[in-house]
Amino acid sequence: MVGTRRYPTTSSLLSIPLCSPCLSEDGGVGTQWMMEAAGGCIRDLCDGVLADILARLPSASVLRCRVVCKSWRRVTTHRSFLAAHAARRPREMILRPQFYPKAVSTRQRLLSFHPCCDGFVFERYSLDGLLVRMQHSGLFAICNPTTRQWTNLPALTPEPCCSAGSGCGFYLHRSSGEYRLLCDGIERNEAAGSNPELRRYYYIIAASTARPRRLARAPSNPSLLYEAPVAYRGVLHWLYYQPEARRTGKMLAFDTEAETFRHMSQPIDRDTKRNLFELDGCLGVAAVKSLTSLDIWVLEDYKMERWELRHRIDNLPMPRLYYEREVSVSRVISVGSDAILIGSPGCYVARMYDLKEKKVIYRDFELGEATPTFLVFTESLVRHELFDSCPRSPDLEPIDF
Amino acid sequence: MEVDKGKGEAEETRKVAEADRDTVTLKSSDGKLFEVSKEAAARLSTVLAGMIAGGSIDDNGTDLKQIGSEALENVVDYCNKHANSIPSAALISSSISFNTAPFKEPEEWERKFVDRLSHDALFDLVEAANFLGMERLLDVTCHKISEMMKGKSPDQIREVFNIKNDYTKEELEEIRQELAWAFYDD
Repeated sequence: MVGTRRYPTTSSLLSIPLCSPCLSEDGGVGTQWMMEAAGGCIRDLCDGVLADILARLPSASVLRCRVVCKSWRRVTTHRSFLAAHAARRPREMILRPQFYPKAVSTRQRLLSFHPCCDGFVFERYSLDGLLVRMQHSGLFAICNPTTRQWTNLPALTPEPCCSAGSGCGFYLHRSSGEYRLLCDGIERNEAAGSNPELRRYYYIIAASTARPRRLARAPSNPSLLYEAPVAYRGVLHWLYYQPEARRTGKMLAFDTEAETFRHMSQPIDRDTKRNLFELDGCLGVAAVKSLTSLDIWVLEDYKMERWELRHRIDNLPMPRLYYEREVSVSRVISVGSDAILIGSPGCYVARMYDLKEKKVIYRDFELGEATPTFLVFTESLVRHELFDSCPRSPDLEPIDF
Repeated sequence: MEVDKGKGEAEETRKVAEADRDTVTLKSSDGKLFEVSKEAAARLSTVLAGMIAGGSIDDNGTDLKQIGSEALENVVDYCNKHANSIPSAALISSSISFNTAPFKEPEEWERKFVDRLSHDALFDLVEAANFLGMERLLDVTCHKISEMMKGKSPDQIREVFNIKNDYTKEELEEIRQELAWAFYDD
């Protein structure tokens, strides 16, 4: 449909599994089971074993299994099953398509996709199978591409803000079990008379509360775009693309339970290009010294804020560049405990490096005609209340799965 | 007194001999006996490990009333094969774990091991593995059964596994509509 914004999700979500390309979860492993139907007494299996079997299936297969018989539906809709199934889903990275519209061969283990028309609208956050994207200033859409549920969070504009930022972070507030979005926005202080004062604040937007809650003053210097924070121990961390982090040279941390900010130390001076990621159960910082060398620091002692230089990688082969353009910023995410993917938001090839063996596994890891978002996504069939409790705004453009 | 002492000694000797044995004897529900390496049994089954440590292994055959002889034979076969297998080259090369999923792909011999089983035997083996707390065998058998379901329609699954559709026509239509998209994919 012309003019309809299409949102990339599940079958249409462009993502790559964060695993070696030869291992894939529904990877056509010779399932040549041609046994005759007679005999199999799967009905006799206890629910626990049946759940163990069904939790290994891809999400669409699980949904089809609900149609098989009542007891399978009961097993596959149970809370504990949904959690176990989600825990078994592979980690994937969401990609952003470069051309429109073009399906990518599934042979490359990339799913076909419908790219979004608007280059400025894209997934901002990915958490527990949920994706959050900004639709326009102050209106955030939230969807679960696996269950194909979608709605929006309460809007930040036109009330209470006259203009809003593009979001700071998305998290689960543990004690309430509620998913919340942290965002900055500008309020007009009418009390100041004919010359109203503009003030920037942080707000918390929760599905259950119609009006966003004002939290604290936010830095007044407008930032480009807050980087997607890295969550660790219930705390969101921003290292680089965040005004305060830039000004102070410190890492900004937001406790998702207490909903308070603080500054933390970071390992290197503020001029080095770097990014934050999770590595083997720790916070890691990749400091990019050049296209062919980088340092990996690890926050060895979180409480004492002690960083340790864990890996020094030199002589990385040069990647084949997107249109042979110089890659200005490189980013790193982990693809397991011992391997990292090194790439750039503008480059459709990436490199994969084994930290243990100290060698490049893939020099040019093909991402198709798409660039990496470095957002890690895992499918989940878990049902979230927020899709029922938060009515869709008339301004929300339909999400087409 | 003398006799008692002699008995005690004999008992002692028997116990020592039992502890020294490197196999355990398992008895299926239909009374068949199987011998399996003690080391492999303790390593692969949490339940057998507990019995061995707790001394509740019967030299004349430990009763496993829940497991039939065919399933127990497969369990023992699996334990013996596992004891003899050396990690394949494929496993070593894929030892870099990219995935967070705890499951490791079955090795070639494990794949062959479950591939030759009939449906009945496979389901019996899954239950036996579950009962004996054999994590790896449970993993491999569950994986095999899930492979048999992938990409299949509900009708095909019912046929392969001999399951009766207990939905009414109306109920079925309702669920199908709710999950319509899942039927277009793959």
